[in-house]
Amino acid sequence: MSTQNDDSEEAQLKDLLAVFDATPKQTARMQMAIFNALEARNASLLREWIELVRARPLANAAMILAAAAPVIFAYAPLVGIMRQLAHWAR
Amino acid sequence: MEEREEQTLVLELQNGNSGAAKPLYALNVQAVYRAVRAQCAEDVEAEDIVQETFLKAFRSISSYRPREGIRFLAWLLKIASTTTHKWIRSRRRLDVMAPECLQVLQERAPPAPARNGERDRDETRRRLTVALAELAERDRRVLCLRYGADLSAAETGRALGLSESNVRKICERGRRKVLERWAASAPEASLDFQLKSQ
Repeated sequence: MSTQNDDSEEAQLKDLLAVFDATPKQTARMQMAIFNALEARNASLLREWIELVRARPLANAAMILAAAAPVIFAYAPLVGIMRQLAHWAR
Repeated sequence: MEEREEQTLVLELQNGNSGAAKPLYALNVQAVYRAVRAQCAEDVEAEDIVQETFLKAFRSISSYRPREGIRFLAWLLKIASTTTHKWIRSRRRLDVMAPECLQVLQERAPPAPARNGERDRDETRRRLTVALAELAERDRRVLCLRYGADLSAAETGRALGLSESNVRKICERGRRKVLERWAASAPEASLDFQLKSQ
């Protein structure tokens, strides 16, 4: 009995809350705003990066070298060993 | 079927296919809007919050991890709840559920030039907002997600950081309160009250 009451109350509240549904106009308006903002953000990120590279080429080269440093340091000893091996082989 | 389709769309979006965003929006916008609008006083405010919610969700889609029995909608509504809370606080907007605003809502007459259907809808919304405002903020949020967005008790709990049994208790208590307040605010009810008191 109580479950039936609960079910009917739940259904009644769901029906009532449907009054807050978005109209098709609102749905379209929100969609346009969301996807325009996403596109604008993607475009501005790319533009920002290009402008940064153009404005400070030296600083960017330094940043790329800094990022590559761990790789260079990791492989440098390996290259040294390979060279020594090649020398002994000769 | 729809749930599987949705998970496929989410995966596509996570893999960089931005074309999956529009169908995901279409599948979820109504439920998100309904849950958010039930917690706001104005359409414009709800629209802003929904836009911000979807933008945040699409930008951080890589952090979404699907879970058994929990729909993507629950994740969206978790973001929506945080956004709604922050929106009202950070922008120092009027909290629609504050007593002084409620007074205004209760006294506000429906706009005259609207057509009959629209006037009824506005009046229903106004009465429902007032009835929901009787609840504590957390309880209102639970009811809006559970019945407005049609989440399960488990999904609601997951979205709001509550246990499933707690959600059930809040729902039982909350919906009774809202429905009682709703019935009491009907024009016929106030007429009955006036007749009885005479």
